[in-house]
This record gives sequence, C-alpha cells and structure tokens, in this order.
Amino acid sequence: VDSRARFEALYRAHAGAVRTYARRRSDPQTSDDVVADVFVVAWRRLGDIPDDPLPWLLGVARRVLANSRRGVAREEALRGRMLSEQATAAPPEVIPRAADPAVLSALGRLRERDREALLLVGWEGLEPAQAARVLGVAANTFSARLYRARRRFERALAAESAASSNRPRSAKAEVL
Amino acid sequence: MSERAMDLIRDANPFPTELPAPPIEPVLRRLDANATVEPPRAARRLRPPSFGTVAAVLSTATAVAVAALAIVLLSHGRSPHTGTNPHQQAATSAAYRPLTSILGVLRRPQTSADRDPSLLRVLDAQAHSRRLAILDGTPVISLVRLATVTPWGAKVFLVPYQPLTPEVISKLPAKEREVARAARLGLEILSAGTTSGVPGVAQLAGGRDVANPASGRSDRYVMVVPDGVAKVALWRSTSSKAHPRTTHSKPVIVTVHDNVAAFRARAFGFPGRELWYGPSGKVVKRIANASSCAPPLGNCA
Repeated sequence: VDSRARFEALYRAHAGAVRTYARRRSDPQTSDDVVADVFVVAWRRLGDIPDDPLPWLLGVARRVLANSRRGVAREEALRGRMLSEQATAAPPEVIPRAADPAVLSALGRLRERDREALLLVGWEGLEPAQAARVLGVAANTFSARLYRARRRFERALAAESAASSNRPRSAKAEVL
Repeated sequence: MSERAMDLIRDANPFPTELPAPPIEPVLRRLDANATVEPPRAARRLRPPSFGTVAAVLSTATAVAVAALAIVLLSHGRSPHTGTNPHQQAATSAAYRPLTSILGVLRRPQTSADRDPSLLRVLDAQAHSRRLAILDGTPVISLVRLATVTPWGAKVFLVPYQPLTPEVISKLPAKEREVARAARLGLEILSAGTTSGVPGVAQLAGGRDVANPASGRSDRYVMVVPDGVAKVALWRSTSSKAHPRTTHSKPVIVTVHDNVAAFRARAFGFPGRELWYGPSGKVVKRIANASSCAPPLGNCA
C-alpha cells in the first residue's frame, strides 16, 4: 500500500512535467503514451528513484521517446490517426505557442545532444546539475556541452538570419 | 550573446507552462494487468505483490500491437489461424511470404521454446487493445520465434504482425478505417521489456527494426536483418546534416545470429549509417541513415 501511495504521489507531482517534456518533442498521443510508459518503468524501479525524481523521470522519458521514434510504421499510423482524429471531434488540446521559426530552425540544425542540452535548460527550466542527470552525464561534462551547444546554436541562428535576410532581396530582384 | 541565446530559446518554447497530467487510471490499469515477458532482475526485490510480475512487460505495452482482430473475428465465430480450409491456409502463408522469404528464422519449425507461455500471455492480455490492433494489426502466433539469446542473457522474440483484413476494416468506424488500412505486414522485436515498434518489410530491409531498452539500459540494442547478412557495422546517427559525425566516428561491428544482431554500445543513440556484410565478407548493403525522427524538431535525413 505504501508503494502504491508513493507511486500515486509521484504521478500527481510529476506526470504533468513529463507530459510537457514529451509534448514539446512529439505529438499529443505520443506524449500521453510516453507518460504511461515512463510511469510503468517508475513503478518497476520505485526503489531506485532518487530524492529529486524529475531528472530521473525525464531521463526515462527521453529514452522512451527515442524508442518510439524508431517504430516508423507506428509513427506513420499515428500520423494517419492524428489526421483522422483532427478531422472529427478532437479532444481539447493545448495549442502550442507560435515560435520564432528561425530559432526553431536553428535548433533543428543542431545535433540531438546539443539541442537536448539547450532544451533541458531553456524549456524544461532545469538546473545544469539536474539536466546532467537526465542525460546521465557528469555535471561538468554537461556544463561544457551546454557551453558548446550555445555556441553552435548562435552560429546556426546567425546562418538562419543571414539566409532569411537574403531571401526577400532575391525575391525582389526577381520581381525587378 | 549566450544569455540572449538562452532567452531566444526560452521564447521559442511551444508550451511555456506545464500541461495538466493525464489521468492516472490508464497507467494503473496497465500495472494491474496480469502478464509478463521477463520480469527484470531488479524488480524482484522491489516487486509489490499485485503489480510486480507485470511491470517488465508493461513497458512494452504501448508498443505491443495486439488482437482487436481476434475480438472482432471471435464475434464472427472464426479465426484466421484456426481455419481448416487448405486453400485458405495456403493463401494465409502466401500473405506472410514477404517476411518469411527474407528471415530464415521464421521459416524453421516452431518449437515449444518459441511459444513462451509468458509471452503468449502478454499477447493475449493485450487482446482488449482495439486501438493497438487498428494501428499495427494482430500478432501471427504461429510465426512467433525465439530467435536468440543476447550476450547479456535476454531472450529475443520476433513477433510478426498482420494487418486487419479488408472485411474487418470495412466494419470499423470511418476514422479508424484509414489508420487500419495504413498497417502492413511487420515484425516486432521483444526482448526483456524492449520493443522495436512494428516496422514493415521495407523498413526491415532498410535497417530500421532496432530495439533498445527504455528502462535505463540504453547501451543494449537488438536489431533484425534479412538473410544473407553475417555481420553489421553501425555508426551512431547524427541529427545534423551539417556535422556528419558518422563519417568520423568508430563503427560498432556485430555478428549476426539467426537474423539478429545484438550489441552493447555506450552513448550510441540511434543507428545512422550501416554497412551489412555477407558471409564472404563482401558488403551486401549500404544504408546512409537508418534513423527516423519526429516533430516538432526532427531533422529527418
């Protein structure tokens, strides 16, 4: 009973954060599936969960997401289902905020590990030490990775900005 | 600029506030289900009486696509696997040929080891999942095989899935029909709480049927390859075309047993470039990027 109560408390406290993490990286259905998978793992390893459980849970969520991305057929089916569900009565869904496409594009150009380092701090609001636990690396390693990731992001963003500022000129030249 | 960079990233957050938690009931239902493939060793000491035995399998539960077809067919009083009509059986075998023709392990006779009771219980326990059956079809029990045991001692089961029949699909609601029609003959790897999803034959041939655990042992991978592949060299994937690390990193070389390549590699992430070698050592296939990606940040190669 204690284990069950502890598990339910863990769910109440962190399921929202895990869902938000997954939703920022996937579609609504996948994010709900990820939450379920993460907490099934959490139940199985209840005794291993540290005092600060969120980084541990996000680390599991990250691996669950990675696994779900490998099922290509499943993804395609999910996409089809999403389309068909959107066409009918879609459940109320939080609408993602519109973001600067240049920033998203620059993030998309980064390697996964660089991007994840930036997003764990920037989107999940984790401290570097917590983010390091999500990725299973030492805090110093993460700090170095974050520093390099920022640099790479800045370069990617500069390249994006340069490309987007060139686009209207060439369009205008074509018109002229 | 660094702080400004972080500010820009924060501003680009599509969900700046935390979303509400989904209801806990579906998770509790999964925990209360009564089946398992292989309970993890760690779970034995933690296991509470009613949930523990199922926990390992349940991590695969969303990926194990199961038998709504069975429910539907039972309601019609027949099953595709128990039909006695030889013509029907021949047609059924032909339907699986795209898989059996490229995977020798599926062509050998089924033994009692293949019909692992706990695995069959898992497949049966998921039979209520109409949603998963619509997504991936139903498992072909007669073709389930215990392919091999990994170097770390985990059994690797291969579970073929067949899509729902046109008759069954035609009876589904319109919005589910389209999804069910997208399902195709596919193969799932199940191993110690690990699943590959259910990629189709084309994805199998493209090196995409790879499973690795989601429960903290991310250095363990199981991959299925077609006949004629004796060894596989895999490079870790890169998500950026601008930084093709795959050309500089060291590959993992794995020997194939019974169509399965099982390997351990720390911090490997996704398989990217792959080279498949035949028994003579000649390269029989080159794959540029076996990884897939997902929105919103996916950088698909």
